[in-house]
Amino acid sequence: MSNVKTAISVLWIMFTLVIGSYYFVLTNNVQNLEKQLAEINRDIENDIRDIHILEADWSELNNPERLKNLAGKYISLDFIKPEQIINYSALPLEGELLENPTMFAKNNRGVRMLANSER
Amino acid sequence: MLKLSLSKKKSSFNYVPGQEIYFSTSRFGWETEDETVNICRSRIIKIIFLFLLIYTIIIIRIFNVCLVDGIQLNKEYVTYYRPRVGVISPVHRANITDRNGVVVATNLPTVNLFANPKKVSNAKEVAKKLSEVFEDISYEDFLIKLTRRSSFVYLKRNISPQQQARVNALGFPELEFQKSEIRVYPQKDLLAHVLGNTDIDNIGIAGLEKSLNERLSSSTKELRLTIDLGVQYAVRDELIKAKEKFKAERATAILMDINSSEVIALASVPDYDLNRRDFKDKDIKFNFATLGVYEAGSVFKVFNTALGLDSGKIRITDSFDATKPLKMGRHRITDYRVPAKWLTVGETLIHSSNIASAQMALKVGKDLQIKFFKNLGFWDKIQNLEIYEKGRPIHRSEKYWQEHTVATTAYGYGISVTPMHIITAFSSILNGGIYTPPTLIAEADTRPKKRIISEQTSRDMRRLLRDVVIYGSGKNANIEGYEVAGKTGTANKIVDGRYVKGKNVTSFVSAFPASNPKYALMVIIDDPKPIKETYGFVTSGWNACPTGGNIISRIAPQLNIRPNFDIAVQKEKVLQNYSKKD
Repeated sequence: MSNVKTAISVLWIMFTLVIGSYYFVLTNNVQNLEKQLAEINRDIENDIRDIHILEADWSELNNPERLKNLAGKYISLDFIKPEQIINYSALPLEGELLENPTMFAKNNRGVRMLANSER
Repeated sequence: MLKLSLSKKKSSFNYVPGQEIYFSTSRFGWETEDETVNICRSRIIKIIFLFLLIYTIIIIRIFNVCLVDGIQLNKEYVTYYRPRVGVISPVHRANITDRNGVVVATNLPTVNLFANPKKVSNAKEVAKKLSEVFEDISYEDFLIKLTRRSSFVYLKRNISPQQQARVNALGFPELEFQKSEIRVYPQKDLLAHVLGNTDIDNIGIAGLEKSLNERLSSSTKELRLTIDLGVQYAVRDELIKAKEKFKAERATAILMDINSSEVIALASVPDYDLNRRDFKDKDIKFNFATLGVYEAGSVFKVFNTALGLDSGKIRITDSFDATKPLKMGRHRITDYRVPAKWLTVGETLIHSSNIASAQMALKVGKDLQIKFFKNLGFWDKIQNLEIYEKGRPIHRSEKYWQEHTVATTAYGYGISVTPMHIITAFSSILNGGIYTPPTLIAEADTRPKKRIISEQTSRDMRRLLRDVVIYGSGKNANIEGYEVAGKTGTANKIVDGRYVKGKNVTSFVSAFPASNPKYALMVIIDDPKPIKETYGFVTSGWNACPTGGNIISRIAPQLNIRPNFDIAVQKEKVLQNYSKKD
């Protein structure tokens, strides 16, 4: 009888120890995870702030007036004029180009220059 | 309860010296050792079972709570006890973007510098050092703040990180920092009148910032506008040029998607840099496009003609006598540079005849005219438009809408509306006859739409207004390829309740391309001056109209509208260009 009692007591003690240890480890893990989560949340918040600043910066850099000035200064680009947009069928055909030899030669020269520059 | 058995059964107990005395928990006298143990054991077992039962209940409850249905807690409890999952945005006011997602208003983190004057012992020294860091605030100002009888005072709000570092380096523990935010407008003055502004506490005080303050401060989801920043820049740029060229007081333009009534560009110059909050001149804050009510003049002939044709009382082939002024009691309606002859409906618009327009209106009558104006939204503030500054139209009440009112409103006198009213109504006339209230927000569309005129009338109006640009007062806006259809309007300006001779407000309202209109544009120039280039004229055809033309030729390629050229003519031009270059 006393053996059974002892066995039950030992079992209970072991059970308590296991549960206690497990609870301790679990609590510890949860605390660590909470710390990690708080850190991640803080990082995300900082990132959101940074993104806001970068977006504002990007928007300012894309100011149409600034882009216009830069384009004028470095690549001499201007606004598209309506007459620059032409219908495909309004482009001269090969035969029409041949009728105008100077234009044909000029075109050829342009193509050759482009090909050379690409090389 | 434990009792000493000895005392209870004293009489029946024969004590023999040396005999062991037993104590019992029993109420019935002396018992054997085994019996007592049995009772104890049974009680211990009962207690064990009781505890087991309690633990089992607790375990079942824990399982139930953790795994089955979860715990039902208050919201406060949840946020307090559970770790926070998900991020609470550190920025407390939503961004505003244009239709392409470019940020036009955002909040940036800053810090405020504050102090508790009661804790500041060496106020003079602190004030001196601070005035060296912040050059825009004097030593005296800081000293006044630091010696104030209060426990909290802002010394400087929204300071930069560099300034914060310098203040920290001063080493005064009395100076403290508070996290804050500042509303920033990266596009400065480009969308001044649309966005409006916020005060130092980030509460909207004008424009969309004011009207949508609740939406912007309650959610961090960005607010997308219908405005296209590139187009807005082009429109505003041309307006500034026109204002300078014609030495005008003000210039305004609105570009609208003709079918959806979405505002693509809205500019009114002069305007202001939204990041500055210290303007003295209140006039620059006036948004003429939505708040300025004015008599639009001949632009109203578009609505008058559309009403006449749609009512069936006037046919497109009808003619009206414009050979002599029209007398209406003590009023006399005259024309400005119009050939004195009988004019068809088309010629009435081309020459912009007041006399013929008035006759048309009189034929249609008061009731239909009022009903039509109400349908076009001219009776009330503009519907739906999200902006805060909206002007209320000025007109006579129905009771006092007399015959001469019918006649004068036909050519735009006697009723004052905002440019936004006019362009929205104009869009509905040319888009096939559907009126849609305007909007500045590109979100779910719940705006009510209604038919104003028939599709046939709308088609007729496109043709008539195209003729105005080809042959009439709108010639200066006839941009090749884009089939501009429009109408000019010049109205005498009212100053202090009286018409002032020589002071005009000129308007040009247009749509393009006329064969299948996509966009409507309205340009208004307030008090343009005559210049050499305009041969001394100040009518719309010489200022608002060419400005409109410039805007269209600049924005149409941006808006991806293919010019509709005659292919043979275009081919000829291409060949000529090649030859020239050779």
